[in-house]
Amino acid sequence: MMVDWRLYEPLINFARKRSMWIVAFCTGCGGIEMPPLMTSRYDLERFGMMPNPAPRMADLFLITGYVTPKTLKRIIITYEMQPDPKYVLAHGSCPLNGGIYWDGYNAIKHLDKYIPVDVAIAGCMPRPEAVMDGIKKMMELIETGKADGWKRYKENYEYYKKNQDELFGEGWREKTARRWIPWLMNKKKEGDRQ
Amino acid sequence: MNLEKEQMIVEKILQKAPYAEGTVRRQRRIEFRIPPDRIRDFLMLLKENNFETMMQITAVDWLKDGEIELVYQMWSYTHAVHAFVKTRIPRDVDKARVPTVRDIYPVAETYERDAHEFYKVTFEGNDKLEMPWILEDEDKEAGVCHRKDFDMLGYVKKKYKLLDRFEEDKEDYVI
Amino acid sequence: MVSQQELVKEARENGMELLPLEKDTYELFFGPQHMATENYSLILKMDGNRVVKAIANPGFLHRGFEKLAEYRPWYTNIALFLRVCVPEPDVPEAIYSMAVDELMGWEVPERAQWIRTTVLEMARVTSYLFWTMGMAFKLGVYTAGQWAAAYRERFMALFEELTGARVYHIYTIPGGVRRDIPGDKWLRQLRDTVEYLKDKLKDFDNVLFENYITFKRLEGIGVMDKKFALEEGVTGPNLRATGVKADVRKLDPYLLYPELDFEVPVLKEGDALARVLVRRFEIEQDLYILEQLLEMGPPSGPYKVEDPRLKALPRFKVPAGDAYAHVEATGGDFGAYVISEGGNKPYRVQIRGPSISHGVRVIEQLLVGARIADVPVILMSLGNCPPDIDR
Repeated sequence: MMVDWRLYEPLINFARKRSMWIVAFCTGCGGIEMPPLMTSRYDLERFGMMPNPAPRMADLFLITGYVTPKTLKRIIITYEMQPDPKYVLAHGSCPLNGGIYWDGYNAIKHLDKYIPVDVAIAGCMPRPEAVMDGIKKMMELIETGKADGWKRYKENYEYYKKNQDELFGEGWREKTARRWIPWLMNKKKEGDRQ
Repeated sequence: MNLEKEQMIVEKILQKAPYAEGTVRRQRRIEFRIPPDRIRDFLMLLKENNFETMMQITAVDWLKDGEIELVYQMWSYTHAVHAFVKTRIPRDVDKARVPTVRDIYPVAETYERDAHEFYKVTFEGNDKLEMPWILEDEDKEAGVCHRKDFDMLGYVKKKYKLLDRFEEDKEDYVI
Repeated sequence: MVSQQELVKEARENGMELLPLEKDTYELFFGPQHMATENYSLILKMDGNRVVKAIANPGFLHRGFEKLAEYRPWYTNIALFLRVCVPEPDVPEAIYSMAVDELMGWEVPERAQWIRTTVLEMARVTSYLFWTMGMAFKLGVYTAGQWAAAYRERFMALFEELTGARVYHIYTIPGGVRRDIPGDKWLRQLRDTVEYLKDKLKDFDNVLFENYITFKRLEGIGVMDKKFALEEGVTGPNLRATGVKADVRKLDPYLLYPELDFEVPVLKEGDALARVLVRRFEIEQDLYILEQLLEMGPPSGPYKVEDPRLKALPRFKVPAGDAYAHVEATGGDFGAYVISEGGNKPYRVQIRGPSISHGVRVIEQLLVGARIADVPVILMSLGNCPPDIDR
């Protein structure tokens, strides 16, 4: 007999919000406040959250600080590797509007145009208590069913893809993957492996 | 404070290198100026006189004189003295050429890659200059560099299409 | 069910196959999404379990500091240069302030020198504890890592009371420091913390530094000798592990170090175990220096230079010239070169971090022949900090 999973939504949401695993990717300045957050003073493991090396087994992505275009390519590849449902938390003032590098040529000014952000935390850099406040808000959003960044990404994929291609150029995934091969071979033969 | 040790080092080096000029700046800082085609002989002479490491190669862009100045920062552990070695080369991209020193001090290969990427100075004999270092390929093709005539704010506006700091459409952001 | 030939055909059409490079070797991205490297990547060419060739791939944290600094006035650059070396943020402030002091030609008062020395020593101890946490997590000895993170929090509370923030203190400025010590209670708390930490060092020895696991994993890998280290620009604890007795605080003394008495630990094997043990001895010496400073006590007097030019900071001008200042950080020798043309913005500022020689050429040569499980351990024993390379 078929089970109607929609009846069990409140229970599933309760279980999801109490066991989020974090992808281990330290993307910027704010990574210095991650170890104090997860060790014994501001203990985050009591909520069931721990860092995990594999993106296939994680739900939460912490973007701690500023983002450069070279890092943004790897963030997009990692974000698309995660299974649904997935959430993104942005720390600091640099992903919101550029922050202290507002006139720099190598810092992304508005991160929401490239991947969907659910909760943003202000500060430079935010204290561990502020990060826990943001995580509490994220848990409320999951419980009421409003944390829908991954649905927005699927429905508006053309909008996100257009912004990404304008910044990086067409065909950026293949170029990034094959960039170092001529330098690793013993003799440089350019069109040899195609 | 007596500057005898620094004076002795400067005189000993100037005896063997008559094309250079040397002064003592203050305690533990000395300075030399040399023409650009004698860099290799001078650095070999410094290495024989116990200057063991090279700390950095700094490139400075003097727009009004039309020259780029290269400052080699050398540090000696036996004498405990820091030496600036300064040369000047013309500023145009096809005329800014200097011989490489990476067989005398192997660490200079990394510093020369840095100066080439941001100031477009070519070091002849270094084949690692073509390897990608810090900037991405799309930035290098657009001509990003740290020279004084590069218009950074115009490039930012063209690339990100937004230079002002404030945006009004925020309803899901908290705290 | 889909058969294997159909899956292979579909993968080949979309360009998603693992092609070997040459006979029996493959390419591995030891990339930025990893628990061991901090947003830094190595491209490895592997033969089974062993590394044949390694290439360093920096550039993930590049912000262009040297170009951004030319658009901001002299005193605003302190808030910008702070973010170059994140685990130890007082060091770039100190070198920039020392270089501008030399250009201005004024004499920093003694109370400010005492406060600057204390803040630099506290930053060194917190950075060594952060390094101990990272090293313990990579070796698999998680107990020592959790202890180190907890003891570091006591110093963070002291920093917060003195400067106002936990990590980014904008405190050391050209001409002195920004505000005074908040009373005798702070000095008593600092003395209690130093005494507490001195007792706990033998617990660390029992669990981490004299452990059989550490010796077996670290002995004899990543070896470099004295000639290699001097030619490749290696500085700091990595150089002292090869037999050269070199410390910037003794060779080119600055602030109050000529009046303090401490030793420089030197070992001569040059492998990863020697680099780890040199850092363990340095934590002891730093705590001893803090005790001597607390016994001396801060001298009385002003904590900032009094100069009428400081009334209007955006129009503050510095006379023309150039200056170089360097300081002993936990990674090595951290230096800054400042050129001024007489205006209210700097003409050229260059920051030289210690990882530009450790993380690029040295790691490429030390990794040849290592196993894949040794790669994060060698990287951590060198004390690599990626923002120094990219700036």
